Parts: sequence; C-alpha cells; structure tokens
Amino acid sequence: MNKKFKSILGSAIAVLMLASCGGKGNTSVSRPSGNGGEDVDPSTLKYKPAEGIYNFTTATPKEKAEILGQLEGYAMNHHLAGIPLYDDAGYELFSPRIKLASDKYIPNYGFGVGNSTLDPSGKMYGDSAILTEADTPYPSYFQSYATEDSGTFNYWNSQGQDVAGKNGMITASYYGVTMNKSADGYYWRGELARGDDPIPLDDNGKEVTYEDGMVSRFWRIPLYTAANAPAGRKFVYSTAPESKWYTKYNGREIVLDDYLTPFQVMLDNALVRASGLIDDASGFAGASDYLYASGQNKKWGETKYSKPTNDHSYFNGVGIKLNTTENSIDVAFITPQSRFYARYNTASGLYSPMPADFLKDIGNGSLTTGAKNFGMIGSNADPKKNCDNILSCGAYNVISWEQTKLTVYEKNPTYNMVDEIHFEGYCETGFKDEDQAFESFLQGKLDEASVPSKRVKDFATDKMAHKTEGSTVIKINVNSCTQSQWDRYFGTNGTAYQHTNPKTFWDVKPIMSNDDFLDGVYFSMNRAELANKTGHNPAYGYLSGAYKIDPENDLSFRDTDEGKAVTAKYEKVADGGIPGYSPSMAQQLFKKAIQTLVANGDYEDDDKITLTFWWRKDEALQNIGKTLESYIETPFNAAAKELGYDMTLDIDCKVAGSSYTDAYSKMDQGEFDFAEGAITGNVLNPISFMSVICTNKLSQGFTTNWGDDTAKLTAKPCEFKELSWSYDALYTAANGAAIVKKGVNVNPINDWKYSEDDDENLVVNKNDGTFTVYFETPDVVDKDGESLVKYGINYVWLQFGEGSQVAPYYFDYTSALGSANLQWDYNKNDGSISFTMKSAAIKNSAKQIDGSWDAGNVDTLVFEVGFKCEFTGVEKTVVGEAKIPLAAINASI
Amino acid sequence: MWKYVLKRLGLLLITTFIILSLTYILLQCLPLELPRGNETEMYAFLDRQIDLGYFKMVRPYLEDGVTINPEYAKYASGILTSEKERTFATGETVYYVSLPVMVRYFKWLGNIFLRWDWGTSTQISAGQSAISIIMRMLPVSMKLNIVAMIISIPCGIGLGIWAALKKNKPTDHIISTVIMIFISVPSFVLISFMLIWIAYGAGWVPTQWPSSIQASRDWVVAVKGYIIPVLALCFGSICGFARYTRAELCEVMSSEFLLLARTKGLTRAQAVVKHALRNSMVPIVPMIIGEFVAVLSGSMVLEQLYGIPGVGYIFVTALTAKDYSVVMVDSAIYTLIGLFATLVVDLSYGIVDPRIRMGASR
Repeated sequence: MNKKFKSILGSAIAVLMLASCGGKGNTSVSRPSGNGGEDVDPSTLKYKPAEGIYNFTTATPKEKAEILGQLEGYAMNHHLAGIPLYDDAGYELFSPRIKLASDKYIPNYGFGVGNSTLDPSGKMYGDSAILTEADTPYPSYFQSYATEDSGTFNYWNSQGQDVAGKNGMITASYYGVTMNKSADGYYWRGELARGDDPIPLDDNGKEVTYEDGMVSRFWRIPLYTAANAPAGRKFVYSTAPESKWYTKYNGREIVLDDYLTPFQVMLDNALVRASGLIDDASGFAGASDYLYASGQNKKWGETKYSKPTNDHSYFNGVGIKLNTTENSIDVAFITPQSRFYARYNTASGLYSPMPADFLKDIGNGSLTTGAKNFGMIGSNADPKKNCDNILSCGAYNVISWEQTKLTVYEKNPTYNMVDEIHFEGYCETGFKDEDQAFESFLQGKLDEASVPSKRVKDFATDKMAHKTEGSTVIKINVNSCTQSQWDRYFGTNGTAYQHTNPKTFWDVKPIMSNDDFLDGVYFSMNRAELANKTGHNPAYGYLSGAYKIDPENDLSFRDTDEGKAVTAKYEKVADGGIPGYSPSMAQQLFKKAIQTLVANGDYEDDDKITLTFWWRKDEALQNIGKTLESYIETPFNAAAKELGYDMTLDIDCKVAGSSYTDAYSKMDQGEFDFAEGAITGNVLNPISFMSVICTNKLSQGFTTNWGDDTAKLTAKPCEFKELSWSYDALYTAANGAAIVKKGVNVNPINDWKYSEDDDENLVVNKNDGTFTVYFETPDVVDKDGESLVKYGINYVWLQFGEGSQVAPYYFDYTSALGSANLQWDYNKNDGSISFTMKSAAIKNSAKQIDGSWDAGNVDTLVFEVGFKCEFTGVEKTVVGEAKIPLAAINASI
Repeated sequence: MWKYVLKRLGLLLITTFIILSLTYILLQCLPLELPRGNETEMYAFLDRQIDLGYFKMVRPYLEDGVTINPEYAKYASGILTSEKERTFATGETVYYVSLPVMVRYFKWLGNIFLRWDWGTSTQISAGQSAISIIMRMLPVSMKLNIVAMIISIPCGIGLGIWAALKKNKPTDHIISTVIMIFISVPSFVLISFMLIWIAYGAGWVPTQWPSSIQASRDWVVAVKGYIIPVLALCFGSICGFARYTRAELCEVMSSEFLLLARTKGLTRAQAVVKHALRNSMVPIVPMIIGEFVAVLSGSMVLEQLYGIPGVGYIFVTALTAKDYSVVMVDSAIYTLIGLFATLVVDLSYGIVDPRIRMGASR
C-alpha cells in the first residue's frame, strides 16, 4: 500500500510494543524479559544478528537437530508452542482372526496391517461367532471402519481428513515403504519407479554418480509403464465391474504421458494440493509461475492470465518433464534435496499416473471438470454404480460405495505388486463416532478398533490390545498476545485475520501475556495423571518422538541431545517424581504474576479473572476438563490468598461449537485465551513442519498459538552458528534459502506503485524517448561488492488498463529483452534492477488494443517482471510488479 | 374442483417461495464458515462463492494504482464486509467481499430460476451438486417412512377400535395408559433404549442401519434393519391413531343413528363395521397424511442415531457443517412435502365425506 492510501484510510499498522510483564524470579526456566520482547536492540544480544544469504537444506543431521532445537526452544520460550500435555498414543484392538505382521508398533508404519493375514474361518473379538454374510456382505474381507466420508477420493482437490487414506487405496506411488524381513522396521523401495532411489542429474540433465551426502536440485525417476513392465508385473488401470467406463478403461495400459497428467491438472486448475508443488522446501522449479499464470488469478482480472490457461506449451517452464528416451520423469526442485528427500518428496499417491482422456470423459469433454470430478461419488441409489469417477492403479478397487455407510474395496488383480496384497478386500463401515465403532468391534463385527479414551482402563490389559505410539502432541494452545499484538494480527487490518466489526474484538487479558503465569500453568499440569486418564503418554515439548531428524537412520529428534535439551529444563522440575509437575512452583510463579499484574495496574487485588478455554469436543472436556480447571485454579487462588488478595481465577471451559473445527477457527482468529487442540505435521521432515509456529503467512493458516511476532528479532532469538536469528529467518534458511538482513528474513524483490510523492523508481528520459523503471532489491553483496543473488529475467509482461478495469490481454515483451526497445541492468551501486524501454514501443502496443481499449482510453501500465533469483543453489521466480500511470511517461512518447 | 386444486397449487408454490426465501435470508445472516487449514482450499471455496454470485473480489486501487476503488471504499467504510484478504504471488492484494444479503438472495433466485442451479455442497461432499446429494438420500427416507406408516395405520386404528369397543373396561384403561406413556416419552429416548436393549444387548437386530449392498444380499438383514427405526417411528403414530380412533368411535357409537341401526336388527359387529367405523374415519383419514409429514420430520433424530443415510441425516449434518446449499435443498424438499400433504389432506375430506365439496360455489 502506498503512503497516500494509508493516510486516507487511517489504518496504519499498530505500533509494536514491548510487553510490560515485570521482572523474573528465581524459577528454573530462564526467559527473556517480557513476553513481547520484539524489535530488540542488537547490541544486547549474545550474538550479532545474521546478515547475508543462507541455505541450510544441506545441513548435516547434527546441524538440523541444532536448528530444530532452536526453533522448538524458541516456540517453548515464547509460549508459541502452547502447553504440551500428552501425545495421542493409544490402544488398538484386533480381532483374533487377524495375524499381525508385527505385534510391536513401528513408528510411522504401525503394526503392518497391510502385511498381516486374515483367517476367514477365525473368530471375531470375544470369541464371538465366525463372521457371516448376515453380518457383512463380504465376511472374508478385512472389516474396518471410518467416522468420516467426504464423498470423494480426489486427493488433488480435497482437504477431508479421510481422503488421503481413501486415495491411497486406489493409487500407486513412485516409491513406497514395506516391512523388513525381521518385521521390526520398514524400508523404501521403488514401486512405479525402476530402482529404489532416484538418480541425481547435473544442470544439463546428465546422470551423475551418487555419492554419500550428495544434494541436488535435479533428479531422474526412471519409471515403469506397460511397455517396459518386468515379467510378472502389470502396469494397467482397473475400474469397478459396474463402472460405465469398464469396457474402455479396465485394463488400459499405463503410458509415460499419464505420469504428467496429475501435475498438470493440479497446476492448471489450482487444485487444493497444488500448494505442495510450489512449496519452497519440497516443490518444483517454475511450478509457482505456472500455477499463478494458469487461471487461479482469473477471478480478479478475468483474462489477465488467460493466455497460458491450460496451454501446456507453458508447462515447459516447470521442473517436471517426461524423458521419453530414458522412460523417466526428470524433476527440478526449487531447493536442493538429498537423495532421501528427493525420493520422499515424490513418493505420493498424488502423482499416481492418470490418463487425461479418462478425466475428459468424466468431465464431459473438459479436463478441468474431469480433474474436479475425479473420485467424486455418483448420485446413483445403487452403491455399485457410484464408482464411475474412480480409476485405480493401486492395490484395491472400489466396487461399491454408499456414502457414510459402506465402502467396499476389492483386491485389484492387475495391481503391479498384487502378490503382496494379503487381504481379499476391505469393508469400510461408516460410524457416527469412535464409540459406536468400538461397540461394533466388541460385538464381533469389526477386525480393528481404537479404544476410546474413557474405556482405556477397561481394555489396556486386554489380550488383543496393542499399544500405539503417538505422533501428535495434544496441548493447551495459548493466546499470549498483548493488546497491540492482537490488534496487529486480528484487528481491522489484521495480518492473520480481519475483524471488521470492533464488537467482535477479543477481550485480551493482560494475564495471558505474563510469562510467570504461563510458566505456572505449565508446571501445574500433572501430565502423568492426565496420561493415565486418557491412555496416552505425557508430553513435555512441542514435538513427539515420532518426528525424525534423520529419517534415513530412523533417528528421532526427541532422542538427540538437542531434542532432550529443549525439554530437560521442564522435566527436571518434578514434584513427587512426576516430571514437569510442581504445584508449589506453579503457586510461586502465580504469586509473582499476581504481584506484577497488580503493581502494573492491570488488575485490582480483588478482581475475578475469567479466562475462556475452548475445547474441540465434549468428550475430552468431560474427560479431563474439570481436572485441568482445578490444576490451574487451585494453586492460583492459593497464591492470591497467600498474598492476602481476594483475587480469584475462573477457567471457563466450554466446547467451541458443533464441529471440532470451530475450536480451530477460534484459534485461527485469535478469539481465545486457552484452547485444547493439536496440529500434526510431516514426521519425516520436522523442520518443514515448524512453519505452524510462524505468526504470518508462512504457516498457511495452521498457527494455533499467538504472541510474539516470529518475523522479528526478539530479546531471546534463535541462535545458530553464533548468529542471532528471527524465528522466520532461521526457519526459511533451513527449508530453502533466506536473504537475511539484521537477523530478519527479507524478499529478493520489492514491488512498488507509482505515486507523485514517491516517484524515484520511474525516470522519464525526454531526450531519447525512453523511460526507466527501477526495482529495489535487498542488495546483499559479498566482500567484493558483487550481489549474492544472481538475478535473471524469466519474462516481462506489459499490461494496459483503463479506470478500474484490466486490459483483456497482455503483451509478452520477454523476447524484446536486450533489444533497443527493452534493456535491463543490475545496478551494482545500489542493488536496484532497471528496465529501460522505448516509449514509442509502449504506444505501439497500446494502439494494438482494439475495441473499447483503443489507445486513447488506456491510462495505466502494469509492468510485470518474473525475476529468476538464484542464490545458494536455489532458483525461484519472484514476481515484481510496478504500476505506472501512462500520463507519467506520456511526456516521452 | 380442478380450479380449486390449481388455486391451491399456486398458493402452495407461493408459500414455498416465501418459506425458502425467509430460510435463505436468515441463513445468510449467519457468519460464514470458511474451510480452514489450507489456503488453496479456502480460496477455492471463496472462488466458488464468487461463481455462485454471493461474493466478489475487490482490489483496493483502480488500475492507476493510486485512486481508491469505490468498491473498496465501501468495504473500508464497513458498508461491505470482507471475509478474507488474499495476496497473490504478484504481490497484489485483493479482498473477498461478501455481497449484501439481499443481493445474494436475488443471485440465488436467479441461479435457481434461470439455471436450476441450487448450488454445490461446500462441506459435506464438497463440489457436488446439492440436488444430487439430496436425491441420493431421499429414497431411503421415503421408503422408511412409508413402511412406518403402513404398519402404524392398521395397528393404531385397530388398537383404537379395540379400546373403543372395550370402553371403560380394563383393556381400554391399559391401552389408554400405554398410549399416554408412549406419547409422553420423546422418540429419541425410545430409540436409545431400543438400541441398548435389542441391538447392543440382545443382538437381535443390527446396531445401525445396514448398508444397501448388505440389505440387497440378505433380506433378513434388511428386515431386521427396519425394526428399530420403524418401531421408533411407529410408536408415536400408532398412539396418535389409536387415541383419535378411540375418541371418534366412542362418540359415533353413542350417537342416535347407531342406536337406530341396532334397533333395526343389525348385530353389534354389523353396526360398528358398516356405520360407526365409516363415520369415525372422516377425521382419521386426513390425519394419516398429516402423520406422514410428522413422521418424516421425526426421522431426523432417528436417522442421526441409527446412521440412516436419508434426508433427515443429511439435514442435521449439513446444518451442523453450515453447508447451506444442501440445507436449502433439504428445506425445499421438506417444505414441499409438508405443503403437498396439507393439500392432499384437504382434498381427502371430500373423498371420505361426500358432504364436503372443495372449492364448490354456494
């Protein structure tokens, strides 16, 4: 926004304030002074702020553990990790007719149900009768259940919690995991890919020999197709027997072109999962340009980018290419990847091959419609005729689908690894909730069920019970914002969410930004008791033991020294031998918090403080809500009494809404004090997962705790390589490449809009009939003054507008670069990039616009440049845009 | 008669229009439930709202980059409300602005009348046409309710006749007491007890509605699947029919014309069957149709509890998930069935009682 606009609207962003949370006492946890310690004086820091360009994607596991330790430690210190309670470990019961491949839970793999066997003549749970057709239409199939059915298998375009699992049944991936022979672990191997590992390439696309520790942006994945299938394996599609496409597509061979279709349809149509393709950490070069040029923007400019829509000639710029010579797919990542992550990032059912003609058929001739229709349930009353939109090349075929009632999967006889499929099929019965499913299991109708929390005591010792390990830490999420922080994130011009009506502003409580109070809450939690009540394991940090810092060697972050160091200071406080629990320390911390808050005038000594605590589901609230209330209120009220105050604390626990997502909406919009909940991430790439701590767009809306701004350098910053970092800067450098100035992450190019008050970025040269447009860069240079960012130009687009409308098409000036009409240059002195253009060329272009867009009516030029920015081995396109009124350059025409 | 029917049909459509309009406007006054978690999905949802004409995208500036877009000024001054801000890779920020409720209402009407587009599901089956979802669910609910009616009519009327014939005797007292108990106890309590006792406890019937594929393979399972829901739906209807039948029959049986029939030599059975019953049916027959509507709405709770994939289940699910397109189609179905039932009730008076003529001039 320009200055003018800001002044008109009077909506300047709130000034950052340091919280006034008083001094610290003799607690065992050292913290920065005050919660809101943002915008710190660098001279007060232990290490100088980082400055320059960094990329830690190729860091060693040890260094990665250090980074993750810093990120998690920062989140814990600043209360952005919430207050961890317990993980989601639990108990699974299996029917006696299932012989599990492993009785011991293998982290991130499970019990190997897919490798297990089923004896159809075996009894069900409780020695009940053998399953018959009176119980289920397919008694010899594995009887599973689901509590959600989004009505689609389309993982490309759905966020439904059930869709990933559903989709996995009908898709194959380049690489997959399978259990090892000793049944105590798993390993990776090629499935659609030939060979178990991708092959590194050089910049010219030639294969290079892999060496240990090698990272590369370019990888080749040799693929199987029907034409080069090895003996005994088939690479064909299959459909349900009653699908209307049975004749045409059942047995249709997989060809190389089919591998490109998923990428193209996701990007062409900006489907939900396209976001993964453009992610800096795991995405593909050029995908972002293609995505934003392929239709996502059309709503606001209608035809601004209409030219490239579904025009796959533009797909050439995306780092995903078929290689017909090698029968492979060659990929160029945005960020260099190790071999493990090159494999891991391409091992997804999202990229399972798909024939474009099938999508066109189910889309009535439209690839776009077909891509959205794929996997969607039909409207037929006969469930066997509801599977027309599904095409499988995975382990199973969907043969019947009655939404929310029953989905039947049958072993796909043409699956490329069909010999390894042990079950004839799956019957997935729909239930209202876990309780109902568990009752059905007890009746001998299911082969597997999770034990609900409230029944853990009764079934933990059951001979059919198997303990699982948790991957998600359930926590009390905390809104530790000061008023100014809340206004910045959630006010009228909030950066995270805009509350347009001041009446809906959250009543920010000063006590919530008091470090002592929040520390007191941490130590008031008897996690051992909570874990016992719920059947889970106590948790002391943000990440569970499932997160692997070195997945190749199965090393959990929690088992590293760095991982242990984060939680050690909390765990060593242990009243009665219960780690992380000390009511006496909690009471002392609360006492100090009360004194500070009263001294600061935030509260009177007889105030009743009510804090709202949202819960996702009533079940959890009933189970442990009162206990948590009492944990916090009892020592707090005792502390107030000890001080001779009448102050009381009331924790008001309530369910956020009819759906569990209502609690997340409250967190998303800053409308809470405390909220119970958890976010699960990518357990094999925990550093990438740490985006959920960010208090800005990096988190993609997953932030559940709010307080200090992670973009800023605080008094207790992240420290790595003897430098101080803002959280975002270290996170960005660890997941790709970051340009860091004064410890803070900055963009490689700045957009600008012309304003009469601020027109230094436009120079009109009347003498030679040219004008020059300048784009500013962060100007990061080496000791010789050379820019550390190598700038290139991918494209230059010119667009003309009239009034509030955008021109119906643009002019591609990329080919004019270097000619007399358009010159560009990097200015070493100030780091700016200039484009000098002949004004007459503009005039000529404007004249070409016909109809109402004749030259006389056009009054605005939008100068858009796709900058290719290369730094630290990362290449990404950053779009810079300058808006210039034609009148400003008219003098030179 | 036909003129009357046409007039009533016209009124029926107008009433439907008013009910749905009010429902739509009130629903639109509720806060919007944005999909959360993934930005792309959220923007896809908002884009769908634009497609439906309920939102528009507003840029802060006109193309000169300086002049404030008048539309944005409306938003900034609070006349329009923005649900979400979006910054494109190009750096440009735009605002998804929800249109005023009445503008959305007229767009919604336009979509229905011009394109027969009732919208798509945004939550429970995202992207699917709301009509196709309801049409898939409707047969299940209708089948269940028809079966319930088929059973409850003879049972209810039979019990009523029996009680009337045994008026003021122990049998009458027992029947009347049981009727009062079942009328007083809410249906969801009955359903819960039946689930606990005969499904989970005794295991005689399925603990939830069997899938259609299972039902089609084994008719015993299909029949068993109907037991709990049909009983749950029937209890209220049977009691209602029995109470009305008993009351009407008792009144008719004490009337003079029936005494005359007996004095003319008819047996008690002949008098009851040929004269008393027929006359007592005048208020009962229209009640049957009314009861069908009551049963249909009563099945909402039942469908939730017993996992029946019908329109009642989907109505509650859609309402909870704030999937308003589905709610509107479901409301339309309920409204039309209710109003058509009223029309049929009125017309049935004329069939049952020849003295009544609908729409006849004096």
